[in-house]
Amino acid sequence: MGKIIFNARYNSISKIVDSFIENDHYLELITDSNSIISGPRGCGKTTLLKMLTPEAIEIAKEKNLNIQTPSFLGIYIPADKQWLIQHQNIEKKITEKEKYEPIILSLLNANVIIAILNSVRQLINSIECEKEIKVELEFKFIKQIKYTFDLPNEFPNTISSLKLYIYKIVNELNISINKFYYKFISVDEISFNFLSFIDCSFIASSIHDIYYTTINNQELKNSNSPKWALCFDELEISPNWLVKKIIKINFRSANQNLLFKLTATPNADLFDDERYVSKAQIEHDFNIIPCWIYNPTSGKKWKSFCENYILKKYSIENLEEILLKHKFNDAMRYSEKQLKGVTNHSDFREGSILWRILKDLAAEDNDLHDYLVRKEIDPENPKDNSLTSDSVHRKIKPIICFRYYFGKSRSRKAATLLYYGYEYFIELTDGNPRSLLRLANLYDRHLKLKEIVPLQVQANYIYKFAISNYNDFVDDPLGYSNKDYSLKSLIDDLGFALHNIIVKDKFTADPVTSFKLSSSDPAHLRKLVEYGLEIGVFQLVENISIKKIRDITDKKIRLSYRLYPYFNIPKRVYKEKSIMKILKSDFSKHPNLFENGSH
Amino acid sequence: MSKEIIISIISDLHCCHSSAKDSKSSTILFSDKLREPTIEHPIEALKKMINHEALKADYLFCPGDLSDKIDIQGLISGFNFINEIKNEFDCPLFITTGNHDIDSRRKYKEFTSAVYPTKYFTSSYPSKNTLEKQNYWADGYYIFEDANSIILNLNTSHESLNEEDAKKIQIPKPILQRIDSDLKSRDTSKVLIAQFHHHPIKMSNSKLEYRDNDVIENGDKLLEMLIDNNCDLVIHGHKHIPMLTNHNNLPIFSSGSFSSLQNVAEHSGFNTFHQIKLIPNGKSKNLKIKTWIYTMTRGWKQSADPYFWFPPNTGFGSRENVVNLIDKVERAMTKKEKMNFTDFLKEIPEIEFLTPYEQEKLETELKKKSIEFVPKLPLNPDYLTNYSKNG
Repeated sequence: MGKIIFNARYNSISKIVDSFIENDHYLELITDSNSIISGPRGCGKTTLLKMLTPEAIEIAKEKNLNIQTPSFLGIYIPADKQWLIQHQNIEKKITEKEKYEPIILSLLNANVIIAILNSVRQLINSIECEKEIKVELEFKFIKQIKYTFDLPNEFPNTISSLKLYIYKIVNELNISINKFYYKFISVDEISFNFLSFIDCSFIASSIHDIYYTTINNQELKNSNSPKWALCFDELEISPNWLVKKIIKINFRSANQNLLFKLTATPNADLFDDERYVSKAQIEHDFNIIPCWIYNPTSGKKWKSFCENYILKKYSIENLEEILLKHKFNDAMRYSEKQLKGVTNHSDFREGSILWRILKDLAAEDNDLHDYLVRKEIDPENPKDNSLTSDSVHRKIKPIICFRYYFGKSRSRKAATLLYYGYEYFIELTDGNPRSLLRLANLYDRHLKLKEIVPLQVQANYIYKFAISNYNDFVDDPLGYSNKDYSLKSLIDDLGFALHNIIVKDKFTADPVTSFKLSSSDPAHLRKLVEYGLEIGVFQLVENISIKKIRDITDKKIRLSYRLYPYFNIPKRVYKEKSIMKILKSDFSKHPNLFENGSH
Repeated sequence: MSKEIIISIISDLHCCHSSAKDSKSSTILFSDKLREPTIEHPIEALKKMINHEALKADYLFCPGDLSDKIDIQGLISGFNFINEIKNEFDCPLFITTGNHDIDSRRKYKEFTSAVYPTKYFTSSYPSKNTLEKQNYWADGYYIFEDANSIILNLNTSHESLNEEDAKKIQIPKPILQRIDSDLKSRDTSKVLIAQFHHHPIKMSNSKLEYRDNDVIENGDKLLEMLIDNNCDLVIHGHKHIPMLTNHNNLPIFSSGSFSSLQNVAEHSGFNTFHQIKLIPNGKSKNLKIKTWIYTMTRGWKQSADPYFWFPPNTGFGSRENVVNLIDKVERAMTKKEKMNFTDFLKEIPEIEFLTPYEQEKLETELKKKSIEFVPKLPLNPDYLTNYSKNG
């Protein structure tokens, strides 16, 4: 099995439609408004956008899939890595905005036109009429485009020829940028083209008009002219000012023909002007669709998504019957078979395994002992009662299980038996469809047979899952691996620090499991956290206010649950602490972390 | 000949059992390959395409190499496969022997000669007709004749009885004379098609290399004799690369390989299936050649790439040279922005019978004058456009 098991960018529309499960994000996206889908890598942004394309809508209809379709047609515009490369090449060389912007605009506009032409190709193909009429329609459509944009008469009136022409002028631009980069020409000699000085919405809107006017002139039955939604995927790799420009220009103007659907990472810097954002929101100019779990409601939605996926793929209606309900009681009884004389009672009833563990720990740990005394629980007989059951025992249960399991110098096998069960299957995938597929693939054999998966087998699968997630994150090509302190360093330091806080440090009923950045933290550290948020290493524990979408200072952030079984951290959010305070013991080893100075 | 004749060509199957040495890099046709998914089985996929496109054929040709490295299971299954296609077309099959169908290296010591397995793996190879079979094994050829056609089925591996002889492909002079005399006694108004495995003229493997030591040594004499007998078409296999050569107005068609990967994979080429339509044009014949390429994911389809590997639609026999045609096209399009291709063919029908080289040259030259076929000529154009007239 390859590392990437599902990436919508490389999958055919047909495959995407087949595996698609309609969710609330999709229903929000198909509303007749501009949208920003915000979420880390793998959260399904590309899938959502591709589901809006005419091809996907057509396939869904053909297959009679019960999926609501939008009233508009999505034009899927993949981000061109060329942007990033050219942007990096020239950003240090050209400082004048008026010379720099047309270059990037050209590349954006070329991408938009190519995407529109691909969609128009599909639209023409899907019209029910004689081939000759389609040929004539294409001929007239391109002829009008040539006229409107004053293009040279040097290619036939076909979609494929216009695409080749666009590639040609982009190539000419790229060559002249490279010539400039290597100092063969001056900035004034860069060869701009017709795409350099116009706005993509003007281009798209004009082509929309030309297409539907041509159709109407051909007297085809198709008289409606739906809006086109320009669906920009991975726009985050393009320059920041460009994204802001697209939003600023297009989100407020009420274009009759167009909608804009953009993807963004959770920490994306999208807005220049807070006043504009507030105003735009009030006027319902756009909706922001956060695709991560940030509160109990979004957690419930994720649970429902997972259940639907399992039902669709394996026809399993009650996943809990197969994966069992997670109980620390059962996990500890299984892992601590050496403890004799414990009863089968559940939780902290006298004689039960958890009661015994708490009693043993309290006997050795003064802090825990004192804590119990403070809570009026007898450390010699720490049974629960109606007063303490929820407020104390339930709260400290994961902590004492982890402390006991990993306590002292006990050697443990790699897979931690505390991770298993239905709830863990859902929550460890942390709102990420790609991760859900990865974990479900590990369970595949059992799910197909609809057989109960034993606790130890589950623990093994979950450990494998966590290792593969860890490897993906630390091997990330953009993970600053060339730096003294890379993304891997941060993940390792944070993971081990959080594990130690729970398991080894002084007992507390409210340990630190999440962190915050402050404005005085080193710039490099902030960059690592921002990039980690982008690729899903970290999760925001709240839905960031639109007004300050970029500002992650003082926001509660945690490691992705996908990594918890790797670092052996209990899956529960306790309190947060400054990241510098969590990591402090490691900083002396990485002096370069501070070289960039304060943020 | 008064009627059009359509022939189908399946060459170089190189069928073998999947356990045979290096089989996976040699071929995609295995005797033990499962029939489903149909698209992944070249024969099943071809049957599907034949039915889907309602293809017809008057004759089916197989110019050799049913098996790969004389794999007997491959020989038996390859023969059965080709007969399945023959049954789809319900037409006569002409099959000849390739170098891989002969045990010239004496792999099977239990047999008394190099041709033993080829001769006796079935009673109907290469023909069910006893006389044809006797002639084929005795003299290395037989001639078939029906109301419309004469077909020479020649075994160029006839003398390859050991490894040394297999390296020198030669038609014995007496046999050439006998064929010549046989053909001269036939009705010259019928279409004459000759089929054999090896190539009669040198062919390069790629632009940079020229390693070709298995050409028929006296291929020039063979071709002379065929031209002298008004041969209309020569078909051969062996090279695996589809190619059309004009040899003194005799079309020599080198068939692409149906399922062998040798000489195909290294060129990033495709396995091919061909149909040639012979259209009477006075004393000679014009050809229209259709080619399908195979991919495991799409089955047999005509390529969307006009000039890579071999054009999906091409021809032979135009009497007009390309320079004259350019003039004619330019004149036809002087005042027109666009012209329907069907109407255009009424004015200049020769366009349909251009060879791949002529098609590409014509398109290149016309483009310089802002005239283009849409789509390109090998893709069956919808129209011709002169975009200098736009607006």
